[in-house]
Amino acid sequence: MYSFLSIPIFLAAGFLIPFIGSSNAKNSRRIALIASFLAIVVSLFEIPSVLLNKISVKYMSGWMAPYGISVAVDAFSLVFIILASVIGFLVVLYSKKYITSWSVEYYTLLMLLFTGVMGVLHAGDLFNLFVFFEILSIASYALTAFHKNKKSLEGAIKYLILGSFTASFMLLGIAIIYGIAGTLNMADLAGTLGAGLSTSTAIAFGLIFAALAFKSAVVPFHYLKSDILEVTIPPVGAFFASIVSATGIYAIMRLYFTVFNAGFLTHHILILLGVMSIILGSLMALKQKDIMRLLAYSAIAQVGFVVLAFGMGAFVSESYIAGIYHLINIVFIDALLFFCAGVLVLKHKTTNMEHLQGVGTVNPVLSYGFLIGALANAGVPLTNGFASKWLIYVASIKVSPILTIITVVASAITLAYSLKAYSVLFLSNAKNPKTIKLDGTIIFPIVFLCIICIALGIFYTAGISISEIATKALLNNKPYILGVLG
Amino acid sequence: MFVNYIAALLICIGIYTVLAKENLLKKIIGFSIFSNGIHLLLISIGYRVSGVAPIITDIKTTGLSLFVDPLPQAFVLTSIVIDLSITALAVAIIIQVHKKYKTISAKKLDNLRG
Amino acid sequence: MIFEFLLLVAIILAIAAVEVKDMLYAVLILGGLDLVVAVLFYLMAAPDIAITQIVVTAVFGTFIYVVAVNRTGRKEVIE
Repeated sequence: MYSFLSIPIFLAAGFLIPFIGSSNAKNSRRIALIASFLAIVVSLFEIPSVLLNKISVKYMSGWMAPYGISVAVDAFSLVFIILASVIGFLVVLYSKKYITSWSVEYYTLLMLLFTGVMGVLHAGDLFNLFVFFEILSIASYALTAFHKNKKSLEGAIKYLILGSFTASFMLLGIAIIYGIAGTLNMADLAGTLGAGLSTSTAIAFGLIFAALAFKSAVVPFHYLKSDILEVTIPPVGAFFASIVSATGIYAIMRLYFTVFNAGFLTHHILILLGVMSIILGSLMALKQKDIMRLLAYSAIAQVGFVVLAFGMGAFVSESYIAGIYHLINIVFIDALLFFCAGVLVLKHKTTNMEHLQGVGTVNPVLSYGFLIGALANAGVPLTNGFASKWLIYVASIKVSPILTIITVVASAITLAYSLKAYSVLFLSNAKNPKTIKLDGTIIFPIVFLCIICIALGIFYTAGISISEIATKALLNNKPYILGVLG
Repeated sequence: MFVNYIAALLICIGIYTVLAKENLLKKIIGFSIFSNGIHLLLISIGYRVSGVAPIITDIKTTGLSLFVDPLPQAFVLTSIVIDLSITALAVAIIIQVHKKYKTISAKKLDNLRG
Repeated sequence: MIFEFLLLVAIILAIAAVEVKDMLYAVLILGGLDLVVAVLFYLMAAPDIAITQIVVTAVFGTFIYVVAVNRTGRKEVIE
């Protein structure tokens, strides 16, 4: 079990940075870079053992499964772990220009945020899930308020009150499940709960689902994306929009398929939430004058597509593959869009698109990056967004033609506001264009993400086969139960 | 068990405070009441009638008595510490809000719209 | 007998902490509620949780709240 080492690596970096970085602030960034790079390395080392044995388990301190804490990684988790470590490394690289002062505190909080994300992705029982979910939440509250201007503080205190409440609801749900089943190990719960479902179990799952949905920003729990992404600094905003949201969806699907074995009829609820997210995200993004809010509502709409695909999976079994593939794609697309728009926000200190007209024309890297991101967002062929959206359209025809109409119209609206954002920022004539000089730490993430977007679009069979392996691990929970319980 | 109802009542008082009071510090006080209710509920889930505390005091005689369930107690320990850190962070942000806005009333914080 | 009495005292303290208009009194009543809940933990056969509850919420928690009331004022609603 190598990928579990990323949790101690990030924790150790989080504790070392205040000691070593207080003498020389540049060391804090170097430690963060080393830690993120090591996390990518150990998560890539995990691939052979997961592909061979279908699941990789580690029992902490040797206590066997129902009595002790276990860490379990199967193919579905490994996809998210690799995504999280890669995007984490890019965010640490990209935030060099944004953090000129207080860099020790920033990198410490970022390392704690990565610890929380990695912990949630590795969790083998509900207790671990809750603790690392709280670490993730507290680091994100502090990072929201980082620059301490009026809007950030207001967003942070509102986010804190809402988020801590829903996390306590998650604790209440876990307490109810413990009262019913007597164990908190996910594999053990799958054996105990899958047989009979009762009202109390449904209430408990609803409470836990509310907390996880608040982190993953599905409508009507979309506070994280609609208000918070406007006030955070762009690297942190990119990480929230892509990875924190994907972690929430991962936890929901892990609970729903592995623990509860999709035993109750909530596929209709998932389809309803997905459709509401798509409609609200697309329509609200049309009327935005603020570039960060526009990208945030666009991210809400994309997550709506993923939830819709997971909901349709009860009727069309290929829809799960489309859902996971689209989730991988939107992580890259949202990160790319936030990275490109963030440079302009940094340079001109405003997020209002009327003041930002034409400021991007001076730099071709930003221009091409945002163009590829906007086209991939809308689902234009040759980009990765097209391949996954095509699968969702095909699946939705078999379910109901109304869903196909909604998804296709939403994609058209996505094209409209993506190109509107692109043309306002990068095609208009600017009043006073200042030249933007980019150094490698900003160019490398943007170019890397562009190459991945186009590569995943051209070689879509690779993406589909990765999603297929992940879907098989997700839907069939017998190997998971056997692997953990021995 | 009577204690479950009281814990549920404390949870409801906590939720009411967060929703209805407009002072931000009062909302955090409501969060403290809410978390006290949840901890009381958790420990009462683990309670066994005429059980003793799950601590080994004397090796010879302790194995013969009925222990209360130790797992919810571990939960409550973790949750108490997490709630302390949330309270500390919330108070730090509220003090900064007071510096910038000169008020800590939630009705006057309305810059994020749309 | 004493257990049910302490439960009722906890409810009365919670309602008082919410409704009092002076923030310092509300914070101190909240400290009292934490203490009563700690005694309830002890009576429910969890002495280590009782010690943690007293040290963490009744001492450190009240200290943090008193610092907050010091920096932001004692009135709940300012017109």
